[in-house]
Amino acid sequence: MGWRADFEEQMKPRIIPFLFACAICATLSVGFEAGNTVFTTHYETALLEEPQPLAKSVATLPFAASVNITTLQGHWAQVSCTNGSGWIYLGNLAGEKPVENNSIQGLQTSASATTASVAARPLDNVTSQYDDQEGLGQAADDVKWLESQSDAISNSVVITYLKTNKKGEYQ
Amino acid sequence: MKKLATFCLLLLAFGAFAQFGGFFKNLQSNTNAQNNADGGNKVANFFKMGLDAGNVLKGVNGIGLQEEATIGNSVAVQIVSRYGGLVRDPEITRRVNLIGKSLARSCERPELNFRFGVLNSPTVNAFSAPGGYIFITRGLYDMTQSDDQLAGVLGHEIEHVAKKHALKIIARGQFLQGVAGLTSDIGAANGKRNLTGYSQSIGQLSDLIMEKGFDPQTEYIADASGSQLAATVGYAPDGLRQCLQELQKHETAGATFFPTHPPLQSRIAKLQSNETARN
Repeated sequence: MGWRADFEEQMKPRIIPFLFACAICATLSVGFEAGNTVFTTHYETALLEEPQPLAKSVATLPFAASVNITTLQGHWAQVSCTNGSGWIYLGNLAGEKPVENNSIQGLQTSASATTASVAARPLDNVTSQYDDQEGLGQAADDVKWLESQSDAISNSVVITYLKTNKKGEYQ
Repeated sequence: MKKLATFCLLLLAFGAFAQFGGFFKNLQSNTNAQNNADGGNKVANFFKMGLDAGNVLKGVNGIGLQEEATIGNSVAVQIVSRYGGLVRDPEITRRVNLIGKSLARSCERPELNFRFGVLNSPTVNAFSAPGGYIFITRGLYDMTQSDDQLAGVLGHEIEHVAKKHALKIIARGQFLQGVAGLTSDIGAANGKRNLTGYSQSIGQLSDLIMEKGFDPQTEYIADASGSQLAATVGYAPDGLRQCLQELQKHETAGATFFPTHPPLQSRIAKLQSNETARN
């Protein structure tokens, strides 16, 4: 608690505003503006004819594809790239190029050759040994319960929720 | 005339250098002063983080998705263990996951398998673990008054994971093992050898997440980008601020909300300032 109070007292007048301004500038500089180059964040991103989730797809862009924003309309960006031009929902784009990173202990797997759930699965040997060693059986059961409940909410369930509540690209 | 113009330009340039030079000198001096204070190395580390950006990137990228998920699972178990277990209510869990997953698919790392749970604790706090494990306490869940407020809280935690805040701390070598040691320990443990180093590193990371929290700057960045994420998905951009203001009404001398985060007042002020800048 001591360091935080000292930090607030001594550094707030000058450093915090400076750092915060830097952070805001950095955030804004990678934001969505016409003329900016941005990147797709999903393994497959549809380039659509219109800013509508059910519009016809012009092309499918791979993970981390670079696109240039030409215009913005609500939560959609009209973009151009080597595959053509079209519309992408802002939630599928990032200002910084995402890094493909599925490796472990020298075992390389390409993004296109795996699924998120496989790539992001913990190593059971390690986690179960750790839980046993630390005597965390009950908490580990809770986390397993959470994983089963959470994984039951599939992508299609989330999309139905978004449509029903007019969220995401269905606003 | 030309000489005079050149002289004026040089003078201006010198003045600018003196101004900024003085500013940075003061900044350095403040940093040094803070370094002498208790915990001042957090500030130094922040600057060091910028200088070592290349190494940080390399280090963070040295942790693959499976390793991140493994570390995250062990930290998640620690969080659940220390906070009274999980609220095993399917309806509450479903609501938190629907809102959380709606946000997570639009964050910078949609490939992660995000899971959202409610901890059986009356305290008011929220935590995230690498790999996409997000927890809020029952105390906080009960105090959020709308989906917009809940989305603001979850957006903040998602951004900690999406921006790899915890992994960057490991990569900076602030833990016993660092990236190389930790990944090698995961490999060794996978081959069923001893887990000592791994356990110690998980213990340190869990302590940081549950007891100390991240640096204030990191928290403010998560506030700003989490609110932006919520707004992009269609939730109120001020949902987090509304929630913090509601908590502020109930905060008394004896009850601190979000103890691992910066004070409510400064978080609210910065969120308000962001909203003004956006408008």
